[in-house]
Amino acid sequence: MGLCIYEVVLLKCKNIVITAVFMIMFFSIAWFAKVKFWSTQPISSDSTIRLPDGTELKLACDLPSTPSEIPNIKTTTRLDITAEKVTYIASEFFGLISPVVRSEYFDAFRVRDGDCDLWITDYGSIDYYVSGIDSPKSLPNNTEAKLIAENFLAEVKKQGITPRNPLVHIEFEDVIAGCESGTANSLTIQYWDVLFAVKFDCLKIAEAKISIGDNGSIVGVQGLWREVEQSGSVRILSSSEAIQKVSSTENVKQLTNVQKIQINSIALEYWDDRTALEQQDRLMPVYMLECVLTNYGGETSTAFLRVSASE
Amino acid sequence: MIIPIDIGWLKVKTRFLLLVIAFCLMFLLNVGFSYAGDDDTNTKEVGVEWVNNYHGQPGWGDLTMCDDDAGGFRSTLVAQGFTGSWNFGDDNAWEMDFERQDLGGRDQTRADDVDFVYFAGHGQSDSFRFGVNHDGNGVDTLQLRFSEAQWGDRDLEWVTLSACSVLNFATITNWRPVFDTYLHGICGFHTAMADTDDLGRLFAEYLTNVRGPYQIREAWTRATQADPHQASSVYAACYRRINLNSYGDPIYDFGNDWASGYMGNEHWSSWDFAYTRWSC
Repeated sequence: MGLCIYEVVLLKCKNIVITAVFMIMFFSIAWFAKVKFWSTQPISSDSTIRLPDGTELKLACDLPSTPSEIPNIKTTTRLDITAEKVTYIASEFFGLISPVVRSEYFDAFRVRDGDCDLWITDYGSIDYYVSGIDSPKSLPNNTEAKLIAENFLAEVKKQGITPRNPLVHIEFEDVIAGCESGTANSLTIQYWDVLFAVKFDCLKIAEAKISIGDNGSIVGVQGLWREVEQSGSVRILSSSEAIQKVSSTENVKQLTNVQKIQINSIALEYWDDRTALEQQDRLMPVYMLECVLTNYGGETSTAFLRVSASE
Repeated sequence: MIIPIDIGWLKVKTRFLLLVIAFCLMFLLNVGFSYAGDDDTNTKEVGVEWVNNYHGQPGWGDLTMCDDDAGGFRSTLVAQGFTGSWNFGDDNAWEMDFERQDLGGRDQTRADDVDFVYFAGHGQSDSFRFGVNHDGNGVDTLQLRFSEAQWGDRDLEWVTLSACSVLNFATITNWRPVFDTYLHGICGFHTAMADTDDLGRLFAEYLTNVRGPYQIREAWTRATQADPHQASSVYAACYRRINLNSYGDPIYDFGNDWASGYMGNEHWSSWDFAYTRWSC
């Protein structure tokens, strides 16, 4: 009997020792591998934390609930972008009659006609720009500009120029003063930029911009609507983890002399780090933070800060 | 038959010839010494400076892409036939290179000795910033303030500042006295901007046949709008002198259909200025 009790006590001690050894090993490995089991500075709605460089970060919105993984989006080439099709688009939508040429630098067709320059790439993106715009005599107001841009976009869609993937759709976002010009005393608006979000399912993958100038004319189209498809999934950080990286490398320049960052909205989206004319393999998941920045002089400005959502 | 030779006349001719040769040599040597190492025979010289390392200056964090930003401008233009003059980065980028000679600077041998200058680094509405202290007069160290610059009295035609807020509209008139005889314009940003490794390359591509050619102000517009690093909340800007054809200033050798071609310095006697800003 005595031997039996002794064995039980010995077994308990053994278990305690094994557990202790396991715990020590586990936390040692975790320490060396810098695994974070908890956030050092948890942030919640309407709270303020201090970033390592001393900048105050205030969250003035709710943290979006995001999945742990989202679709991995790859870009693809469209086989239907031909010289004939570009000739048709150039003529029908922009009134250009110069011949279509194949770029020697990019996978794209180009039509340059007087002040107008149109590019359409093999990935489906469109870039149109009108040079030498003078002060407009009759600029539509921003509501009219929105309507003109939406009608134009509807026509473009009807011709099958926007992405064909049924999960991709284009939504209106905002109208802003696209370009202002003048002397040192006053500036006048040269054209409006009507902004659209190109979305895959419910996540933004690109921005499209249609510029409306004098008498409602289309003076610019930046449709970065590449043809895309899903290729598996990609793991992402939570928004709480990501926003603590806001002062990381990419944003340092914008955060110069900034004392306070107030985050007013957070959106999970994709970022295309290439220009419309260049090839892009995959889009990168990012959190886009709409912020008000306050510098040490007390001046405020609005900025969109991008933080990588990749693990 | 013996032909009489006027020895005296021959001597005079020889002396005159020697005199002409000596005069030509003196002229060539003088040019060589005055503009040592420079290529002022053309209008296609490019000089760039960039700063990534700010050595922990409070409020001015280190950047990572300014070398590619400025370097991309230079290398793309050089590939298109331009003359790549200096390329100074980090601790080799000095404020003095942009500073007036009378304030101890040496812009006459750097910024004002090329046609196009591109700077990438930190900036604010009255200045752009360097990582190490090489100031001409010890005032406003580590930064080139507008009051320390006077460009275009020698060679410089266009300056591009890939730096935050230097061309902020509220303080733009500060930069007006910076314009001397030949400076055509300054390209920059009205607001803060994002660090970028693409902008300089894109600007050069829009100036030349790769994506252009566009006139300088329009090429800057196109480049800043194409740069994937800049969000639509970023506003770029251009502050420039106006001539009779206010937009007609393409980069040399890349005139286009609607431009009247490159304009020499004689066309830039106007002291009227235009300011344009746009969403990126």
